[in-house]
Amino acid sequence: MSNHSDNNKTMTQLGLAPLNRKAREMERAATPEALEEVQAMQTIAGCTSSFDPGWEVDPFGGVASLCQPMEADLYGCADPCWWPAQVPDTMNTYPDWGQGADRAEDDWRKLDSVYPGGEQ
Amino acid sequence: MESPVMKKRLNLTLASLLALAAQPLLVDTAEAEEAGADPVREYLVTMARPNQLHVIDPEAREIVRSCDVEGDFGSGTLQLSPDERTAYVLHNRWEDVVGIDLTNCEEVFRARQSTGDVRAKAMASLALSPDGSRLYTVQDRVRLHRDRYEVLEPQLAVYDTAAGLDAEPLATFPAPRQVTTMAAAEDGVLYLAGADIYRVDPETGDTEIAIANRHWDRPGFSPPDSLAMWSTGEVTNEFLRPYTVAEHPGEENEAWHWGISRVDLASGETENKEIAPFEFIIFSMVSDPRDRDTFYGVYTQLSKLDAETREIVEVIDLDHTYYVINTSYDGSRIYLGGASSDIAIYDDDFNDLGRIELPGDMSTATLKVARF
Repeated sequence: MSNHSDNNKTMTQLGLAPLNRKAREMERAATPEALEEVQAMQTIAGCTSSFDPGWEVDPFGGVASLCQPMEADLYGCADPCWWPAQVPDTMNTYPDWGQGADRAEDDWRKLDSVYPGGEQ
Repeated sequence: MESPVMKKRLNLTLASLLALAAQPLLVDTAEAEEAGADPVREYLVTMARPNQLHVIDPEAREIVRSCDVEGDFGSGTLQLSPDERTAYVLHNRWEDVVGIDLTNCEEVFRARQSTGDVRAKAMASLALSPDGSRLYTVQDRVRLHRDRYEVLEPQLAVYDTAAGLDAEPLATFPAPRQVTTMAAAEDGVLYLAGADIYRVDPETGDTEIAIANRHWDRPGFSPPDSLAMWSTGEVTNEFLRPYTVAEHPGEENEAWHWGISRVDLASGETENKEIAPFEFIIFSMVSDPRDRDTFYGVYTQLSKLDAETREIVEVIDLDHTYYVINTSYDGSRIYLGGASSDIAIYDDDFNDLGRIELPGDMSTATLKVARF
């Protein structure tokens, strides 16, 4: 986890090397000041620590290579804790989150928020 | 765009379709009937929520058998026994490996990888020895202390498939980090997809790089980016991982490609090469059993790539995301699964042959092709 003083470092200075096309573009475009704008996206949510911002568009700047529709990919992304999404951690902490909602396409309305300690 | 090569392919395709029409998805039918036995059929096998292993007839487009597998879904990674009658599934939130007899749903094997205060999960890492006697996983382990988690070194675990429903590892060896899919070659050597493709001797745990990916030395090329979650390759007897790569990165003539790292599981021969321009995302890829340099890929689109000409031969949009692709053994049909709750079937010209609806989502599950 980076502390505040790291915010003004480039990704290279932080020891991060761009691996794919989008990461390379990010490194070219990002100013040290702009890094602070994506701090919230690095927050560990659920079981994932994926640092994977930028999935608002696909690697080509469009949307054709994004999950389509979201419901088709909901479990596929949540189950491996890959999705830096705000869904409960089904791998360890909330294994029953999807219980009774076996087909996300039909059952997504049954998927609810979870509450620490089981409080409703 | 219709090159002589493509014309030749088209003719071959038509010929094979005509042949297929005569004997759809039956293997060695005449011989089997002469012998008085039931003909061997081709089935699709996959896992779906909440906890069911489905055996599917792709010709009739219906579920033949649904086996309840005790425990929670996840990951649904599948490998088949050599006789293709037993499926081993990574299950119960990526922790247990369960063997299920596909002919009667009987549970014949279970290994609980987590023990005591150590939680062990396999990130789709599952393989079977060529004689079916040994099952391999790579376990990512965490010790759960009262006040903290302690990340342990990953390990390769070796199980005896005859050990029954409470199997313990026969042996464990240190394993590289970040391993996902794995496969055993005909000589018994294991191949693991991690930062590189590793070759592992399962008798000793000795590990070496079989195909360098992260550590390749290719001036003018970026490091590759790859995803490997789906253990297919049984139809072509190969271990395949696609990647994307930039040639001349950052320069004016920068070009992006799809490439493949591949191990021939019969010969152990390895291969690493670029096969087509990178114009869309592919989650999983298989080669055509009739032409190993023709590749099919899937994600939001279904595509056919020709490694000889390094061209995208055909690409169509799909109605939703699919993660895992496979083909029939004769190469005439393409099966798409994973993600949502329907399996799509196309012919090799991408004509839509229909859908098979499942009662639950397949998520990260493998879609295997079994014959029995």
